[in-house]
Amino acid sequence: MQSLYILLPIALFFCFAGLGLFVWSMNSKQFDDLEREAQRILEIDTPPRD
Amino acid sequence: MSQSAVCFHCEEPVPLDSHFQLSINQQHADFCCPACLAISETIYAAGLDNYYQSRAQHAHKPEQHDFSHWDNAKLQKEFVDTHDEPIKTAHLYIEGMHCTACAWLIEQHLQKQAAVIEAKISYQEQKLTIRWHDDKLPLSQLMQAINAIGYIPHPYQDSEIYAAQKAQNKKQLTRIGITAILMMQVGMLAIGLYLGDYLGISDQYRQLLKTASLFFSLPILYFSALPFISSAYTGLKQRKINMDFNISLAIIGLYGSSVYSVYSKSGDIYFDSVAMLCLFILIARYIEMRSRQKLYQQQGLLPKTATKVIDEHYQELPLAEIVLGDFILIKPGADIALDGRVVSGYSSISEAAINGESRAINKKIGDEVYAGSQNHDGLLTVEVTATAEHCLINKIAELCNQQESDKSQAQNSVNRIASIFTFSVFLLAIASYVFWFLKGHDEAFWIALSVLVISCPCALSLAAPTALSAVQYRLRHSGLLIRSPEVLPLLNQLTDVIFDKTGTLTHGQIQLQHTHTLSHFNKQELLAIASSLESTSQHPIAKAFNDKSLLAQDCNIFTGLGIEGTVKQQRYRIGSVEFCQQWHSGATPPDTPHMLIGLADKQQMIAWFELSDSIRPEALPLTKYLKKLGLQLHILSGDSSDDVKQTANTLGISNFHKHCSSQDKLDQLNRLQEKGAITMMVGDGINDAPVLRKAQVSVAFFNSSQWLKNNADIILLNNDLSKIQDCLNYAKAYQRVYRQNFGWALLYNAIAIPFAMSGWVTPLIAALGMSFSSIVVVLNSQRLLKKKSD
Repeated sequence: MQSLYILLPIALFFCFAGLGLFVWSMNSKQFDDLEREAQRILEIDTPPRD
Repeated sequence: MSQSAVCFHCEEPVPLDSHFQLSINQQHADFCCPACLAISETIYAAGLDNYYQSRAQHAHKPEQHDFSHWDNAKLQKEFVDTHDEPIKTAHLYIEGMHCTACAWLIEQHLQKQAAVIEAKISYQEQKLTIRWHDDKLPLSQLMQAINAIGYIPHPYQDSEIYAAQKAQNKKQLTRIGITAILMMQVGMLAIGLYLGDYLGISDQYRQLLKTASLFFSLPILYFSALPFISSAYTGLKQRKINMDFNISLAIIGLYGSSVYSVYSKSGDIYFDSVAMLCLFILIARYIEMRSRQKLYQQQGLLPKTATKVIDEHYQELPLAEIVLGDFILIKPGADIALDGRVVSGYSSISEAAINGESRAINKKIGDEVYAGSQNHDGLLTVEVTATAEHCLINKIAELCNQQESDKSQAQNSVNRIASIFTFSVFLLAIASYVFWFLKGHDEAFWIALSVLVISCPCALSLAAPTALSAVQYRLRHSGLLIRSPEVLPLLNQLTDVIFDKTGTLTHGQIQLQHTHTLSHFNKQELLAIASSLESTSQHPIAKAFNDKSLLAQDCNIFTGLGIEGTVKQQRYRIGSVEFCQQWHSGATPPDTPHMLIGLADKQQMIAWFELSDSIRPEALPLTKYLKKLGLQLHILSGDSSDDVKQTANTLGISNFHKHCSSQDKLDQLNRLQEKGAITMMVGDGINDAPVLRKAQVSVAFFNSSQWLKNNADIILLNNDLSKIQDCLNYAKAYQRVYRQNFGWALLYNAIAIPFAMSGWVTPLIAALGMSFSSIVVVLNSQRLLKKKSD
């Protein structure tokens, strides 16, 4: 049970990291379009331009 | 080629004599038109044939457009970002996208253009964001390229309201998301603690779990609960206790004492209750906000430019550069950009965006057209009568927003009740604290907090506004604008309905039936004189006289009587029999059931005109319905002919008064109101204005004068009387849902608060109960959105 003293802070860290990512993803408009973005990965397309 | 062949691109049937063909991968493809052929060629030449495999629906039939005017920097200002020129970023709305394959096609097609840096489509918004080198390729060429593959690009512009709504939604959703994640963490630790209570846990680990909960719930206090606390604080600064006061107090109390229990290593923590409380209130408010927003969403996009006609030339200009009196051209299929009057052409127009009427309406020279409606098949030239911000569609949006800002009286009284309620609960909480403390109970503080948490003023103060915004939304869509929401409850208590006749029960398009000449003038001359006098009036009678050869001067309008004016140096009077008899007391009108208008000069009576009008087809079903509801119907008409009696008989209305001046109508209304009647007045003319203002509920037509519309409670947007029936039905539904909400909130609080005061409820259960109660109210109101009118 001693391990809780390490595991809980780690969980805390990941939770806040996750929250940070969630806010970032909201702000970078990743939830604005749920249809088009889902299909983008399936397309055989040209390599990214420079 | 057989007739059953369909076009390879748009999948419409290919005409028999078509010879547009292409050989694709050794296969033969037919096309219905050169445009489709060109599009297919472009798509294949660019190696984008994947599109035909992955598309979900067939393509639209293409239309070719001209985009050259969009290179004008002034026009670009509104939708192009130029701050790192020559690279520009434009936002375009793409018309004609119907699946994600279309989005793919456009993106790929644009990225093959050398000047384009990035092209990205948001399918949900139908919006393209494109970055490109403007010095290599002008915007119009890019738009042309999009058009070449069968889509129509438009400048993308969020209306301010819409943009604000979107930002607000996002903020709320982020808040809900964060609260939900944290609630799960805190809840998980709480399960550990609860299990510990049953199975045994060492103090060391209990303390560890409590401390961890404290850290997890920090953002709940400083982020999730912020809206409540700041709203309660603003309220307090104005010396008001609003419904957020108790919630904030409970949250701070629960949180503070939990922190103390962590610090003192004794007692329980309630971080999980705080988290749950915040989450559920946030969700309830989010649903409520969404239903309110629905009401103010603008329908469709208004065009940003109009084609101005300058001596046989056409120029596409931004709306700001078009002034009153300019002529604009409206092409078939185009949206109308500004309000105006048709000066040439003939077309049918759909005004669904304005009044919810889905049928197309025929427009000819002299008819009004409104911005936001859609032209169907004809070419029109329109004289502009209102600049962009004064256009009707924006006026309607403004009216809606006004209601948002100045809350109705009904709402204020509800808020007062909620405020009193909040304060009483606060007192009850203190009382229960004192009571349990004096009894020596350890848990006195928790009990007091439970009382604060479990009481639900939100349900009380949400009861009316959620139902109201839902019902207004529905009515707006069936063609009714409720300008003063406080009339909705009154509609259920109506006892009397008063109609004006001309223009209200009848079409108001009065036609000249017969002319009695009494002097040397011939019919043509009489009509010219009468028309010149009547042209100064807005009364529906005036429309029966439409000769424009003479001009009257120094006209005075005697309301309810007639008009006096000078034509060719001769003083004339036109109007009711009585009005003419003021000059010629001996004048005897001919015997007729129709309405009678006299024309006289100082010497003699010159003519009598017989006029009549037809009854609106929807009037009879409406009056039948109203009578079934047990309402007293009245007709008060300024008209003095027997037409009033005829109309009344046809519609089965026994109380009718003809020949009423504005004052007579007002007297009649006063008499009814003294007897305690709750009246609804339906009218369309300026002479009804005082009565409309006096009646408890006033209904005006959309095509009546601006002044009347500004003073009426309810506006019939498509001039359809039968909508009054819908209105009454919805008012009833509103009342029902409102009562249910209010009753539920009262019942819930009446049961829950005593329970909490007697100490049987933990803060967690209190939080659950309170959130549940709010959500019940919000969801119950949402039912109104789906209700069909019956």
